Amino acid sequence: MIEVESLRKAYGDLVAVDRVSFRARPGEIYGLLGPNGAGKSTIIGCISGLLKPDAGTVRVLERDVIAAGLESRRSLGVVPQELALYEDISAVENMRYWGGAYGLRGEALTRRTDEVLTRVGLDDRGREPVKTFSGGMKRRLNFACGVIHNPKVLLLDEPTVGVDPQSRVRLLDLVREEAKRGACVLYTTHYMEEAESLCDRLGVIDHGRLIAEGSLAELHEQLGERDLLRLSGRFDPERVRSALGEALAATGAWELVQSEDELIVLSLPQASSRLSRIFQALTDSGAEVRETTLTRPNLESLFIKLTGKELRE
Amino acid sequence: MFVLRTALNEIRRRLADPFAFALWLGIPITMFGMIYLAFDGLSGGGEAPTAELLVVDEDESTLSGLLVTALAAGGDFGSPVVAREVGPDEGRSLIENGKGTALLIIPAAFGDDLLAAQPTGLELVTNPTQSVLPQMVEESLRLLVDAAFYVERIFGDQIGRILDAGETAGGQPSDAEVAEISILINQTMRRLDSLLFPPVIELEVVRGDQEPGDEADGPGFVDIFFPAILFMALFFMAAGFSEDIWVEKHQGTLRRALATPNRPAAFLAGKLLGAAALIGVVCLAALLGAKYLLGAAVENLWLAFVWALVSGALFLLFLLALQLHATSQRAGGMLINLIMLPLLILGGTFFPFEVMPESLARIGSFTPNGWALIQLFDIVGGEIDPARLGIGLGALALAGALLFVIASRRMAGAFVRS
Repeated sequence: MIEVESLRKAYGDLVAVDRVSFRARPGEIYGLLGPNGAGKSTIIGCISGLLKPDAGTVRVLERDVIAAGLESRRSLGVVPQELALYEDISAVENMRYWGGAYGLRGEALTRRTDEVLTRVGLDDRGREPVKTFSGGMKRRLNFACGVIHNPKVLLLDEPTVGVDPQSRVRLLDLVREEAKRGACVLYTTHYMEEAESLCDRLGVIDHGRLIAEGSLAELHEQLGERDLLRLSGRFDPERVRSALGEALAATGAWELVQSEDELIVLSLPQASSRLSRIFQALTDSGAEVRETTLTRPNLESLFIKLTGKELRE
Repeated sequence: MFVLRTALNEIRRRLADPFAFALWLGIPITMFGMIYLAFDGLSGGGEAPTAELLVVDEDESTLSGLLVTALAAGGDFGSPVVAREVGPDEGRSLIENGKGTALLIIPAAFGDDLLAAQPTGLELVTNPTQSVLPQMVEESLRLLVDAAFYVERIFGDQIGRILDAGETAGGQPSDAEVAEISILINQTMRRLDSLLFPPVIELEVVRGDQEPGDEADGPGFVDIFFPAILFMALFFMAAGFSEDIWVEKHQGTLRRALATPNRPAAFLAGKLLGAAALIGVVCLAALLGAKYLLGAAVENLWLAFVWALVSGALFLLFLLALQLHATSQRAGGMLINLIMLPLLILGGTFFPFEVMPESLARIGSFTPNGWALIQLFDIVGGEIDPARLGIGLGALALAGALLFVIASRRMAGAFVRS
């Protein structure tokens, strides 16, 4: 289990993580969803003991990561965002080195190396130097090195960045298998679809703060059954607000999430039935609409609703 | 155990990229080879190059003959200038075809003018295709001209009388004339005695393993250059290994290693151990090669090996500590060069102390690498002072421990987080 309580970490004046609290349970995939720079990697760094928190506590399997650093790290598996591999040596040599770093030796190390290489589909390339591998293969090996010692807690920091779709599907299956065998998985990503399809529970993070947390169902509940209408073109934000206010006065629960010169985003129930009224109001306000997108409620809608912006890469 | 695993991993990585490994060694070996060839090392004698002076004697007097004899005898006394008398046409033809270092033309009436204290001159034509050797000829000739001037000033009368007597008596002066001239020369020498001859103190430098009077050969080219070249190789290897910490950081393996249940010091110690093993291989190969292939005088082989290995490991720790304090890999490289090059130059690594000006050599002996190099010279030369060596090893151990603590903390702290 991972327990994070009131975690705070700053780099000078920049507060990277601000009073973040959450718990991830065994057998569960807990996703940390947020844009780049939101503070996800800093949280992973604090859990893995690489970074020392300024305030708050982090416990892994009930051991404080600062007070009992070596012990807590023994049960951790880390799959970093970078391809943390030695490219000049072979996949097997990489795995044996990282397995050995977690105390595996002899027959157990050899057996686990073979098992995990087979699981990630690299058993036929194990003796070749890593530098000859494709990006997807390196990602899978990166994952393999993080799980070779059967960790009880697995930290995955954006493990699918830059991966081809086939390797991504395979990697996500591997992550599910880890959770199935009882590992507590913390998974950071900025891919909505990954978070939706993979995670049992999610924490939405932005500017170092956890702005929403719960299962997908709980988050949808927070969002309500609203559609998201995204219009791009040329707008006068003040006149748009006024015109829409009059046109949608009877609708009740509508919200102008984002209002800029070239983009407006509306959150409202049953948007499709109100499109004509909305376009009329925009035309009256002198706006020029070039593109319209209507989105059913999903994580992206939630993120936009919570942060007022899209989840950018 | 993690230390050993990391050390083995380090060795595997290095051996997987033999080109980079060879490159570090290649630079000093190439320099050694160039210097060796420049000093004609392959001939086995390490002899200095000689200048060939072509002499045209148009005067053919006794004095010009003496000058030619003096120049021609130079080579027999170790002078870098060897003279050969040629005819005027042959001399000009040779020098125009790039043969010989310089052509000296002694004009007619040179001897008479010299004795009459009249202005006279010598013509020297140098070979434009050579640069250093003509200058050597010019300097040698200038010395001879100065000597001739003083001889004329002091013994001009006596020489004039010898020549006159020879001419008037059919080439042979009489016994009375010889006796009279001898007495005059003797009287002149007595007057100059106090000026020319200082108290007779002869200093004979004898090495500990030689008897007085033995011919001391002194250290040869390989003996002088080999320890310096070995240290240069160690520096280049250390610089390359130290830069690897940036590779570990950029590829994320450093963060991954620090997230394992092992202390950062264990990871660093493993990396150092692996690098030291490779440094040790190079040291041993270099020492054995120098001793058995190049014939260098290498006493205390194993002690020299240990000293070179420990020195190399300390260079690595020192450069690693510098890299860990740099803000980027580029800045780290610049910092290393900024510090390493002056240390190499001053510390007797680029130019051995033997060929450096004394003042610079003295400063260089206080640099860490210069000090370590001097100890290595003493070890391979068989001049071990156990007390000094003990203090030296203690100092190295202390410096190593300090640098290790600094590097380890920095690596697991600000370096990995930046």
